[in-house]
Amino acid sequence: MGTNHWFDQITARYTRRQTLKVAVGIALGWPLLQGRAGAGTITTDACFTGCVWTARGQRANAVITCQKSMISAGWLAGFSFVGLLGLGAVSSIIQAGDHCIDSAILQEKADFYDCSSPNCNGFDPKQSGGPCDGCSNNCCTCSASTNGYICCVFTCDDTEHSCCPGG
Amino acid sequence: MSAPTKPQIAQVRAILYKPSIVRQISDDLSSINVLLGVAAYTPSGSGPVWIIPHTGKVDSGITEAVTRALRTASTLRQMAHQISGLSIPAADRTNLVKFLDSRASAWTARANVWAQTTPLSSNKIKSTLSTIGGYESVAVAAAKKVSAYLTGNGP
Repeated sequence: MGTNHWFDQITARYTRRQTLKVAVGIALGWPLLQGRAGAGTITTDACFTGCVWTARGQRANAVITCQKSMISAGWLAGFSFVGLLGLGAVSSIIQAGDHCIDSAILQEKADFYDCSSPNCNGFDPKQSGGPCDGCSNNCCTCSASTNGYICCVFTCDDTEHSCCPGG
Repeated sequence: MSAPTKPQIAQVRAILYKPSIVRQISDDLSSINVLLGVAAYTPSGSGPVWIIPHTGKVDSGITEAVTRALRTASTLRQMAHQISGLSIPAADRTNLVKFLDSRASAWTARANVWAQTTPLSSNKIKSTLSTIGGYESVAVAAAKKVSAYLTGNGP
């Protein structure tokens, strides 16, 4: 069968079409995505930005894992929700991928609620994948930082020095 | 069990792969992927706002994703309804309807949990994934029995 196998053919078509779909989808959804990313910073809780940033990073990593598992299973267009009406023969791969994506989405949603709780429900910015992951100094909140924190040699309550631009 | 004839397959495919419907579902899925931050090339650090802290409401992007998921479910149910009226082998008709209805139920379940404005416990996540997975399993089992009608050209 070689490269003319039906599976190769449909996956090749999906690869090209999905690439186009994602490009169109991003173009259409970009303003909303950007707006929502900005809206995520609307909070009075200093830990919120870093907590959400961490949750998003974990979701991104989870999605990459989903994609890799789908690709290794033979689905070359291995990302996101796909193949709604595709061949039954590859539906099991799609199902596994969708389950993985579903899980990543719901975990991020749950984490987002935790981040909205007082003190971000005990969020630790030094946790693995957190804004201060690997920081051996002081991890201080910093509104000028995209992830809400900055690793600083000064103590966070030092009134004379600050690592955060703008204090 | 009789095998479907070419005209019967063509009837089903005319419903499943109607270009305007395929385009709409593809657009909805692509948009959902982007809106929920699961599309490839999603910028680092960006993603959906599941709850606006000051209002307790879901963000408009989530509402948009929910709308599109429900529309996908509705479209799948309409397809199932159309196929239920076709003169094709009864077992195939049953499985095609089951395939589409189950996929529709999965998308409805996704939309419902995305729209939820209360915190998600780990038990709730598990039960929701189990519910969606159950619908998808039924859909996959049914789809495998009617693969003669399906192509790789759908969304």
